Amino acid sequence: MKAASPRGHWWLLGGVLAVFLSALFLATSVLRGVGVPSTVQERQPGALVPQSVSGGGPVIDTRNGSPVSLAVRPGTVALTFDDGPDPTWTPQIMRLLAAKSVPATFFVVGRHVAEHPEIVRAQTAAGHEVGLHTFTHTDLATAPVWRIRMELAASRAVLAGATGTSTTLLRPPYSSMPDALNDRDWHAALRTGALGYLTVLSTRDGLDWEARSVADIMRGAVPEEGRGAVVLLHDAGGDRSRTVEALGPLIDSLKARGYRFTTLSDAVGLPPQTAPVSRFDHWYGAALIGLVQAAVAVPPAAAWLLYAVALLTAARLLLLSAASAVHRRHREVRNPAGPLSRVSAIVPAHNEQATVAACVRALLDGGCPDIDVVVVDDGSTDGTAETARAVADPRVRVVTQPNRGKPAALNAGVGHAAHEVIVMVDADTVVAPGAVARLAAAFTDPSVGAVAGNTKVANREGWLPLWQHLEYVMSFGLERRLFDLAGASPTVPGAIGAFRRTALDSCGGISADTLAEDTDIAMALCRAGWRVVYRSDAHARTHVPTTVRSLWHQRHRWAYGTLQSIWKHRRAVRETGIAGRLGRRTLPYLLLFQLALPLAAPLMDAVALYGLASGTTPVPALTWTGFSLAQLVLAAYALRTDGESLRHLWLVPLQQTLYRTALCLVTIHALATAALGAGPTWHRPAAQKHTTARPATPPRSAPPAPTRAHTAWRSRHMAILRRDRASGPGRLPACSSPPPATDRPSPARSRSSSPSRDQRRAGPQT
Amino acid sequence: MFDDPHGHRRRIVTVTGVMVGLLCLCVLAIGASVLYADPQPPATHPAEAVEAPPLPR
Repeated sequence: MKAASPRGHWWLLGGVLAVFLSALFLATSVLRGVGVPSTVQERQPGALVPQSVSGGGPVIDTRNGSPVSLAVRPGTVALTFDDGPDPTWTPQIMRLLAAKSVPATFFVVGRHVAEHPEIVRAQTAAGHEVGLHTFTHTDLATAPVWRIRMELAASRAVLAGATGTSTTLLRPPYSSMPDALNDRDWHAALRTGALGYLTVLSTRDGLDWEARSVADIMRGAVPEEGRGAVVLLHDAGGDRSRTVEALGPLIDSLKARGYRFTTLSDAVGLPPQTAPVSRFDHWYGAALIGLVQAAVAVPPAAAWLLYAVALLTAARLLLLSAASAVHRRHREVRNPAGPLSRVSAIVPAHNEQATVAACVRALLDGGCPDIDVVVVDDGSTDGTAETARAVADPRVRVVTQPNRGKPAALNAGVGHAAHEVIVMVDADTVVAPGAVARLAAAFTDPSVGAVAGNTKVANREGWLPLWQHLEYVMSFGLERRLFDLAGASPTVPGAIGAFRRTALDSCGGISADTLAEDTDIAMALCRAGWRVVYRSDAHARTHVPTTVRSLWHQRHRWAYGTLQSIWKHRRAVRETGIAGRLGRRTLPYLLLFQLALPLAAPLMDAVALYGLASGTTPVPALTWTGFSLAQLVLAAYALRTDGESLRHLWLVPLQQTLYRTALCLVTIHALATAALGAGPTWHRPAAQKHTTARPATPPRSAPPAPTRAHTAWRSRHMAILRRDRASGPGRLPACSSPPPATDRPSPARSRSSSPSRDQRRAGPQT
Repeated sequence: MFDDPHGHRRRIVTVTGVMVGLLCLCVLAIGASVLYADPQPPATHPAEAVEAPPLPR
């Protein structure tokens, strides 16, 4: 028994999208420049800054309420490097410091620590001191309290994750010397002091961030004679080649003057300001590092995915356009050529009382006066059979059977059909005048096993049917031309299609293995070597779902059935001839554009919406706009090619967003149900006027009693499948090969196993 | 086609899905926890200007 429709995959999809969008937000908004440079006001001494601080040393301790200013010991220099670690410049600086045996203090930015934790570990291992410089280089003077707490918490966490230690040293971004502190800076120092941090300023500034010359950097960094200094330099945030160039001569010059190099805490007479962290803090920091590294990788990965999807979609649009033009020029046959074959038409129907009469009458006017119409009433309860009989035409026969599903109904109809060419039409479909004759004309080519007609939407009222109308014209119509040119069409639409009886028999009839029997039989015919062609001038109008629920169920069945068919005929990849074309052209196309791209669609839509909402990059919006325009042009071309009005062209942009996104979700649902083994059942809508819905299939524990004809064709079909599986790769299934072009087709079925003409006319055997 | 009569595939897919879902939840939780994480460093030595021995040259 089939399991209930699963829902867990929607939660999973929501979770994945939430993580994806969070990573995008983190990488593009939080980590990339939310910290605005403090250019709002001049850095002048503030009235609230104590004199002892503004005139004191570079280290300010506000942890205990009353501020303490710590000066650098005379003859001592503490080299400090801000904004790192940087994979290019920091290692060069560290090598130089090691060569000169000079310790330094690195004030690191949290996001850089997360991106390059190994460099920070190397710094601590080399004996250098590490302090914090916030997580995103935020100006603490203008940031709100919650932001300050978050910056320090994240910085502390990633440092703990990288080195297993924590520090009390904090250099506020955009800071300078003690005498440049303004009121806002002072308030920030009080806040960070309350959180347990020492505020570290500088006494000498190399101003290397202004890209000055080596001589200027040295001039700014050298302290006044004899006085100690905390020198501010940078090891990241731009081109630091001049800093690297200036560092060696600076150290040599200061050593020559008798200066001693040490770490920041030692320079002001403090013990080391680092402490080990708990194991939990270490692991939490490591997890945060992993998160940041993953988040930073998301935008480039999303960009690559966007480009790949854009490329594939553009290629598909061009392919469809070119194929349509070539097909129109070389393949389309306007008028039937040669004597027409005698045609049987099968109309499977289940509760189609409202539409079956119109369908039958249209077939009778389809251009083949000798048509033999067989209406197979598949257990209807609304008087479908009586309505069909009421047409009262000697060419119409009505066959009734208990409800067994569409494949069984079609096979029963084939058993009763009188002629070689069999047209199959859904009961809610009305064929255009002459359509049957055009379908039959294609069978003058003996290699043709089936012909697909051109399905159009009959009920074009409302946005949903109109979107489906556009889809039928743009996607289905153009794709059928492409597949026709490729020589392996994967589907003969159930609404209107024609088959050669010999070809059907060679494949064991219509199979009930999948929910998309039209796709299954088309693929089976291709694998058997029969050509499946497309007649764009054989029109039929069918009723499409008018509610979201019924459309969802229909498309779920189609997607699931297509998956089943692809899986069933996967061995075509290694076969030759038409089967090989199916396996190596059509199946990859279906897998790529009907399965893979729909999976990527939610992510691409999320990227586009995020780009639009955040304004961080115009690329997604521009890409979306470009594709909308391209789809509009393709839609106009497709509508013109099919002789349809351009009146509904304005619906294409909405159709490409809302409708296409919904269909992508249907594909995801189909994949999930296939993976879970919870395939769909036939949907019975509550009050839909025109539908091809069938009731739910009976439970496996109570299969219906098969007829003798049903048993015979199924035995034949199963035998063919068993031989197919046993034959291994590289061999066609045991079906009749297509006859040479000069020979007439010969029936491959065994006369002893198939019902005779008298048996067919007598009706199903019970 | 695609039937899973013994439920093996369903179990594997369900377990995998649950693990991926939990991973997503963990990622979101870690990311959101930064808003509530403790910004204070562990206690180190008091801020006293003690005479520390010079570092070897």
